Order: sequence, then structure tokens, then C-alpha cells
Amino acid sequence: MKIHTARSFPFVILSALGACVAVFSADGAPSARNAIEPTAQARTGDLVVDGNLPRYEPSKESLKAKLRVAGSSTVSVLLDRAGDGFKRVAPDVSFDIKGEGSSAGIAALLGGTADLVGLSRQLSAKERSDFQAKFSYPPTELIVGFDPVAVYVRKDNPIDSMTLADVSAVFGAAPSAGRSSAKVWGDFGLAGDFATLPLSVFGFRSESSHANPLKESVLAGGSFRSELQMQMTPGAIVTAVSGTKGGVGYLSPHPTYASASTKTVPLARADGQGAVAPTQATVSDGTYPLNLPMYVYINRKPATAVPAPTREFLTFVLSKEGQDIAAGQRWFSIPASLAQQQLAKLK
Amino acid sequence: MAKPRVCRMVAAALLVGASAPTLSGCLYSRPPDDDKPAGEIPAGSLDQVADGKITVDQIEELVRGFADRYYAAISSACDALALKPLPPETRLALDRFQTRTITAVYDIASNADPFTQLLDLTVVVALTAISLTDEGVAERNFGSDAPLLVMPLVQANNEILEIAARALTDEQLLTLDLLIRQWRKDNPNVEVVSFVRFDNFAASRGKSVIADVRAGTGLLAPVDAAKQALNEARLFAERVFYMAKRAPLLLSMQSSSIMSQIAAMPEIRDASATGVRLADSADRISKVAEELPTTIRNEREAIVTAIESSSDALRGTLGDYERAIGKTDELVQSVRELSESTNEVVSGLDAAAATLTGTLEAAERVVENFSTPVDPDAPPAKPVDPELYARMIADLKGSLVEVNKALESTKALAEGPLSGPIWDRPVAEIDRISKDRVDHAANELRTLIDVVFWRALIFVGACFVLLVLYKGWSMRLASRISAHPRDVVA
Repeated sequence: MKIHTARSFPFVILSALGACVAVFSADGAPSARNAIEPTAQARTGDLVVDGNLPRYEPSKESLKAKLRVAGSSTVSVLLDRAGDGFKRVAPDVSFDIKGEGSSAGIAALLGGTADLVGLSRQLSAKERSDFQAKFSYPPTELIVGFDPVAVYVRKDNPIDSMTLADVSAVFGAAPSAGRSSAKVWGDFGLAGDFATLPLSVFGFRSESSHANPLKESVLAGGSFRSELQMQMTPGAIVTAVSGTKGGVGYLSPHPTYASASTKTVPLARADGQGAVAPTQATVSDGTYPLNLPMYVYINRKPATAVPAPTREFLTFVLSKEGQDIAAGQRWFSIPASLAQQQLAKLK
Repeated sequence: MAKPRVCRMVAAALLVGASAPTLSGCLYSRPPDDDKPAGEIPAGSLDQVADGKITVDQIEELVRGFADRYYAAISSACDALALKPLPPETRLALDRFQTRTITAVYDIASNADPFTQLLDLTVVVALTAISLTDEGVAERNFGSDAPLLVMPLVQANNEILEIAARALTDEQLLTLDLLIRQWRKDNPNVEVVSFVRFDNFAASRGKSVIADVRAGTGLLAPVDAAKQALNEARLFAERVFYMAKRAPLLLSMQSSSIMSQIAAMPEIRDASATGVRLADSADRISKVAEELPTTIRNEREAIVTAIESSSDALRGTLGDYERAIGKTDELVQSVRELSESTNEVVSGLDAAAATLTGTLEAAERVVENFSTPVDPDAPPAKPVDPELYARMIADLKGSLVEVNKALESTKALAEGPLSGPIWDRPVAEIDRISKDRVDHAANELRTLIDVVFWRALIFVGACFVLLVLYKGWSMRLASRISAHPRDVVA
């Protein structure tokens, strides 16, 4: 019995010390929490919103309405966030937002069950013709922001540019004509260790609405390659690419997702064209190939005024205040010149 | 210390009970209209929720299962890294990471509110992955071994997001992801991210966004209050057991962390270095001990050879020493006799000296009688005291007898056996012994020169033989090269 006690003694001592550490750690937790300093509520990451954007001037009209919003989940969220801001100046305006997808949004536009329809792509020719056939005039189209896509690799990856065909070869199951799915980084001309290093491809789960922009803009509606390792969020993609030599993924180039271990790859539309890095400037002026504008469509009969609540809300979205909200999330704002063009469509 | 924790858990359980109307189901899409009262929210129940989403109970079950899997993944990764040769500081950092992270995860998993569990766990797992992977902490610390830890973190991050996706809409999940990233950018210097909770974001992000994510629980099913209370009581008990069962694991990790912390202390590192040096010394001693029999055998052979080669000289030397010792014995005997005679002389001289002293004292007393001043008070002295003269004469006679004895003793010393020859003999012996030692040293030197000469002769002979062999071998090799040059080159 004595021997047993003697053998147990060190464990008892260590356990007691461990308990002390546990208590100490638990007590230390609040101090770590206290170390977290509050920061300004309004932030736009490292993006600079165009200071020439018009300031929103609240309407003198009495605004009271329930605006019905439909369409893609991404644009619906942008309108929802902007709606929160708009309600501060127009408290009698409420929103019914249903981000159920582009198809549902277009159906609502055609059926007249939505005041605003947000889409992360332009209407197709058929969709336009359907609208034209039903109403005898085209829908009014406005660009309210950008949701660009960038290709991320680890910083130690020597690749310095890609074409859209390369992007297709990285992510697509059926790449562009004359191309096959890339297997190793040597397929892009990299030498050394990377010549035989396999690609580890990360992206959104295909059923996610956030997978759609790339599918539609680069893969021509095709599917992702089977080797794509699906991640749940953009942040998870950054982490996965950071932790995998040879990793490559796609997500927003918003500065919030920048990390010390990754970089974005400048993209060119085709061979022989200059590759462009994704920045606020190149996204705004359209030189970045995957800047992906976000659209809002309204049904406005020619020579008639846009209903005041809809007009005021869209004016707010296109203002400095509205674009600050967009940039504070994960989107890129529009420049003042583009905003003026959009505002002109509401007059 | 456990009491406040229990109190917190009880309070949390009560809060859950109080907030039952808002926590008993789960939301998978934003309310279509912010103006719509809670009572009009689409109904569900604790056990059944529409469209494949999960219930609160299921969230808790999934979160707890994830916590255990996370523990296993992190522990395995840390154990694998611990097998690598890491510096004490890195090992300590690894232990601390493991302890803090797992403790935090289990702390979250035992929270009273399942939805808070889910949000907090998503935050901690994501921030841990960001810190170690995106910010390169793992690669800086573990180099090429970093994937051992990074890959489980990446997988765990996606797994908890998958669970969160069952309780949140896509947009809510993206908002949560965005909040985590933005918080990290706002707080890049917070190293211990395992204590960050979802509520911390409220300080920096504004209540509306937080409320939006929290509104993930907004489409809640109205439930019977009694059923809710029953469920809460059951869940509370489950949480207590859940945490209690995992306490030993946490204690074990914390103990390990303490050991690493102790090992990284400068004093312990010095002691370890000393230990290493001791181990080196022990190794060297072991090698010496292993070689000792061989060394002893070689040394013994060498000694025997040396003894054999110089046995004649040694025998001569031993003989010389024996003779020298015998003569020394004679000398010692002579000196002893000399000492005894001297003692006798000294004793005689002492007796004579004593007698002379007595005589002189008697004479002084006689003289005193004639030189002592006259005391005016004293009775007049007798001009001649016959008694005094008689005593003086007796003393003088005694002194003269003693002087005669002393003179006789001195004469005997001068004429006795110790005179003349007895002093010459030892001196002659010492001279002779010195001469023998000088002769012996000369003989030894000659012997040594002889030995060196013969050894040199043998060495020269051996060299000559080796030179002859080398010459013969080189000539043979030269002839072979000339005969088969390709073979030699190959």
C-alpha cells in the first residue's frame, strides 16, 4: 500500500499543479478578452471608396412602402445590408427580401411580384427577349457593386499570371477547347520543385450560390473538376491554400481575405494580353477580367417615373453611404462616374 | 475554484431556461420581415425542424462530437511533432498550444447554450487555423514538419463550418467568416486566440451584424415550457458529466505542459546540459572500462618485458641496496653507542657543576661575613665565630670532593672508549657509503645506456627489414602496372 501511495504521489502533485494551471488559465481568459480593443464600426477593409460618389440627400417626400426584393442570394444580401442603412433615413420603408436565386428572381420580375431583382450576372438574351415580349420594353438594368473573383496561391508559388483559359484548366472538369485539366504546376511552365508538384484545388461546394459566378464566367456553365476540395467559406479556402504547397483556390480578392501566406494571381483575358491584378481600381474600370458586376433590374415603363421608394432606395445604394456599406462587407464599390450613369437611369 | 464555475453553469442553465422562446429551435434563413413578431415565425419543434436543418439538441451533440475529434486530431499532431528534436521553447509552445486549445474547446462544448457553443467553437477553430496556417506560425516553428499540424487544423476548420452550415444560412455563414477575418485583422497581436469568443466581435462590429448572425436562432419553434425546463435540466446534467469525464485528459495535458515549462527554465536547461556532460563523461568512462582488460593485458606484458630486459641491472641494484642497508645498520649502532657515552659525560659534568656551585656559595658566605655593613641596631658581631668557620671548611671540603669527581669523570671521558677511534669510524663509514652510491649511480647509468642502445639497434633493424619489404612490394606492383595498366586504372 505504501509503495502504491509513493508511486501515486508524483501524479497527485502534478494533477494538483495541473488544476492550478487550469484555474490560472481560466482566470487568465478574461484578461485576454479584455485585450480586445473596440474599433470603428464603419470599415471597408483596405478598400478606398470613391470620395466623389454623391452623398445621399433624404427625400422630402413621405416614403412609406414595403419593397419586395428577389434574386440571387448575394445581391439580395447587399440590398438587405443597404436596406438596414436606408431605414434610418426612411423608417417607414420596410423590405421583403427573398434571396432564392437568379431563376426565382427573374420569374418574379416577369411575374411582377418583385420591385427589385438582384442578379450576379446580366440577363441572358432569352431572358431579355422574354421580358421584352411580355412588356414591350426592356428591363432597366443598374450596376450596384462588384463581386470579383480572384485566384489564390501560396506566396512561395512562382506563378506570376494566368489567362482565363488557365483558370478554366485549374478549376473546370471540361476546360476550354484545346486544354485539359492541369495536373501539376509544370503545366503552367513552372520549373524546379513546382514542375512536378500536383495542384491541390480548393473551392466552394458546388451547390453554394458563391460557386456560381466562376462557373458562369469562366467555366461557361460547366462543372468543377472532381478533384476540387470543397470548403465552406472564403476564409476556409484561404486557410486551405495557405496550408498546402501547390494549393490553389478562388474567392473574393477583398482585402479582408488577404493573408501573409497567400497571394492573388494577376489574370489576363487571353494569351498575349497583359495580366491585371485585382484591385479596387482595376475592378472598377473593368480591366480586371473577373470583376463580376452585381445587377439590379426593375420594371420601369418608358416615360414613367420610378416609384419614389424604389428610386430613393436605389439612389441610396448608389451613394457614398450605400457603397461604404457594400465595401464594408466583402464587395467592391463602384466609381463615381459609373454611379452617375446608373443614377441617370432612374430619372 | 470550482464553485464559481458551477455557479456560472447553473446561471447559464437558468438563462437558457429563461430564453427558451428564443433558443429552442434553429434558423436557416433570415426572417422575411423584420417587423414580423416572433410568434409568427414558422414553427418547428425541438425534435423536428423543417428542410433538413438541425435542432438545438443536435447542435449540442454535433459540437460535442466535434470537440472530441478535435482533441484527437490536435493531440495526435502534437504527439507526432513532439517526437521531433525540438528546442525546449518550441516544445513548451507546442504543449501550451495543445493545452490551451483543447481546454478552450471543452470549455465551449460544456457551455449551456448550444448555439453559443457552435458560434464560439467556430470562432476558436477558425482563429487557431488562421494563426498557425495563414500567418505561418506552424511553418516558422516546425519547418517541413508543419503539415503534421496544419492539415488537421485545415480539416477541422472546414468540419466545424460544415456543422455551422446546418444551423446557419449561407449568407450567415459568410458573415460569420467575414467577422472572424476582420477581427483578426483588427487584432493581429493577440497570440492566444483560444480565449476569443463570438461575443468579442460585438465590441468591434456593431450590434446589427452580430444580431444578424445570432438571428440564426430566430426562427424558433414555440415549445411547451415544462418540456423546455425538463430538457434544460437533462442537458445541464449531461454537460456536467461531459466535462467531468474529460477532466483527466485536461489535467494530463496540463501536467505535460508544466513539465515542458520546467524543462524550458534556464536553471533546468543548465542542469540538463550538465547532465549531458555527465552522460558524455560516463560514456567515455564506459569506453575506458571496456578497453581496460586489453589495456591491462598490454601494460602487464610491457611491464614483464621491461622487467625481463632489465632484470640483471635490477638484481645488481637490489644487491647494492642490501649492502648499503647493512652498513647503515652498523652506522646506526655506532651512533647509538656514541649517544650513550655522551649522556654519561654530560651527567658527570652536571654533578661537577653542582658541586662547584655549592663551593662557590660557601665561599660567598665567607666573604659576606667580612663585607657585610655593620648594623647599628644589631648586637655586636663576634670578631671570630668558630662555628661559621667550621661550616665553611666542611662545605669547602665537600666542594673539593665533587670537583675531584668531576675531574675524574672528564678525564675518563677524554681517555675512555669514545675518544679518538669512535669518531673516526662513522665518518669513514659515511664516506664509504657515499662512494658506493656514486659508483652505483654510475653503474645504473651505464646499464641504462646499454638498454637504450640495444633498443635503438632493434628499431633500426626493424626499419631496415620494413624498407626491404617495401622495396620488394613496390617493385612487384610496378611490374604488375606495366603488365596490366587498364586493370589497375579500373
